[in-house]
Amino acid sequence: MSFTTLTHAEFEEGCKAFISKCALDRDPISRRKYPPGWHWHEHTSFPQLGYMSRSLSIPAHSLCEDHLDDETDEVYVEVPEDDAEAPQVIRELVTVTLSVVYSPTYQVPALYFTAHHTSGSPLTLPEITRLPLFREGLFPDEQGGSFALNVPDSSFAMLSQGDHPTLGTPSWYLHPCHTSAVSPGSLYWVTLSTSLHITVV
Amino acid sequence: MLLYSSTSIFDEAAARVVKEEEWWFESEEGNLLKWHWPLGLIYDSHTIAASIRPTTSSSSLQSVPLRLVLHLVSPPTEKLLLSPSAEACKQAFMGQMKEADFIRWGNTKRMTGLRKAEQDGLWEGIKEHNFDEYWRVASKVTPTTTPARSQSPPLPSSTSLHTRPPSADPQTGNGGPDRDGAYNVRNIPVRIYLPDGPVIQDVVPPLLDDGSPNSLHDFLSKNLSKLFPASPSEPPFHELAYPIIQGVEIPGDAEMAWLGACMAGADGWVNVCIGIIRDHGSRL
Repeated sequence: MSFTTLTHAEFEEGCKAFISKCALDRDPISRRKYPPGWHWHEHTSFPQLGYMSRSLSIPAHSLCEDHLDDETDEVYVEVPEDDAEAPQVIRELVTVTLSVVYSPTYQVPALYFTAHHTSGSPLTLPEITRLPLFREGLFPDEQGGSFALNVPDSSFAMLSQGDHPTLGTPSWYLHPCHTSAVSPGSLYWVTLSTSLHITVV
Repeated sequence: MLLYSSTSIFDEAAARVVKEEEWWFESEEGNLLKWHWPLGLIYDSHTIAASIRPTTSSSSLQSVPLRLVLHLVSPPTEKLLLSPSAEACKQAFMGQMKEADFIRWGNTKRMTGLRKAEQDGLWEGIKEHNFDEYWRVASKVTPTTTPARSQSPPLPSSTSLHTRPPSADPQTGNGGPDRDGAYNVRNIPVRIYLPDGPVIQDVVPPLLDDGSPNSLHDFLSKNLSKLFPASPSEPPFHELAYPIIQGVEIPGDAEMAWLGACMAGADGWVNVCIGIIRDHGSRL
């Protein structure tokens, strides 16, 4: 496991450059790369705890008929034409907040996120693995755990729970070893590279 | 970590009905206890919380039992991690140990080099309150200290498994018998806990740029410059705060590398809790 490391100052600079690109670009292709909604947050007393985050509403799981609306991040589902009487698939929406924080342990960006049902209750680990945030087939079969998701060939759990480094609130944490394992088709996901560029895949 | 001792107080009929994963704890003062924190950290955190409570009188800053309130349902999921089972506690603990291993050496070879039975033995030792079983494995991954290398006092003989006499351990640098030496780590796994603030983690090398050992005072003045001014000639000219590790107030000249080997918790992390000194100057 090797990383090209960043200082927090470099991380902050990279995030702010990314956010300003998100504010500028408007054509659909650029918007995929630099989606709106990312904001930088400072901690009032500790500058080394600054991070960026974005909240969005996504379906609880993906279907291949989905179309993703670039303007609004809303999802609409195709109704098959030959069965206009069939009920529309109603799928639940989930509120996800993504936080890109600086990891002092690995000295690279790390992803923390929360996911809640509209009722306010948090998603369980199996429900998290079904979110369209992740590449299909990424996760091994159910491991029966509820705290963390372990994968073979890695000493660190891919996904586990932890306190958000700045907010202290419970979050899910994607281990930096695994941030390359993101869904190439997903509009919502952020690939974290260890250079100054933080790109959306 | 708190869950094990609680299960024995219910009779069998009641125990069948309650779901342990729904349990959660508060201190008597209403502070939520994080189940994934080590108990010692929970206690020290309780101590420093008392240091900022306006109703705490100087006499009650003595060491007192931590009084808990156990709730059996409806854990506040906006504040607590989910599903606190025995297995979750173990996973949280092992995750912290591996992260500490990575911080120290830039890889996790020492932890991953352990057989599965040994890794399980770490947790079993903790679960069964059996230090020897825990230390049998942990001594293989914890940095060692050699008195010849630092200004710090030598360790007492009860930890002789963990030190070698100076004569047997010449200063050989990396790769020699001192490969696991506390001063050869890349960085020390440390976190700072404030009475009412975020958890602070920084990159903490064993030596400063000038080659001198990184001290607790150096570390605190870098991260909490207003509470721990770098020099006594800077305002406010009197002490504002004090650091506690494992329930002990630690002097500023303690070396971070030594703390990393000798005052870390079972998971490898040095947890520094900061208490605030109030006007009358009393403290723990």
